[in-house]
Amino acid sequence: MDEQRAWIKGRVLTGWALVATGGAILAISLILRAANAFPGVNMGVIGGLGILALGFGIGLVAQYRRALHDEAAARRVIVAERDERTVGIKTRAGNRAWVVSAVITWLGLMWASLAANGNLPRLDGDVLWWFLVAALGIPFFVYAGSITYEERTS
Amino acid sequence: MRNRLEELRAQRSWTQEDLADRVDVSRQTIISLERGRYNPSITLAFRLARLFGMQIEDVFLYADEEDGRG
Repeated sequence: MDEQRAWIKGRVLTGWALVATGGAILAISLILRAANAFPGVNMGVIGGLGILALGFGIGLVAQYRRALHDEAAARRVIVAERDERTVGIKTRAGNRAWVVSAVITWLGLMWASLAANGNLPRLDGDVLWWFLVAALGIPFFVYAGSITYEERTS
Repeated sequence: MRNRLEELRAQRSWTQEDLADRVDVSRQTIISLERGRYNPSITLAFRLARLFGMQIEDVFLYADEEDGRG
């Protein structure tokens, strides 16, 4: 039980660290934006990173904090985390997301190579931005979709 | 692979939650096992068999045995 408690405590601490880091990044981005310190830099992107870290942190703290003081909740959390079927589902979903991510990256590399030779239009500006959004977002949706599908079928 | 988990659990008047708690898995895993949608690891199969005081082959029925070829 001590090992389980230490593991849960680690998750809560990670959550608080993410909350602190995300909060600091968000605050700094807002201050720099207000001061117009770096006019060429999009502070919204940096602030977004802070919000992302803040969200993950709050999620971790909310999920695991109760388990620190409640034996039954701790047991549920540990079982849910180490349940072999759940671990298998997450592993398969992660593998699929990785393959999709690798394919998108490979396509981007091929496109960039052909664009350098003048055979395709260059990936820059908004097109590059949307390509990077897709490279980040599509694997995430594949991961989430795989988990939903496998939860229903396995 | 088929199994007798639902039958053995019912004999002991355990809920799926009771069985899940006894072998440290989620209730969803027990549901999937009973419906035959999920094949357990050898470790979980041993834990389940020992919980019921039986051999693995008395709880889990391999496909060849079902076909009478085992």
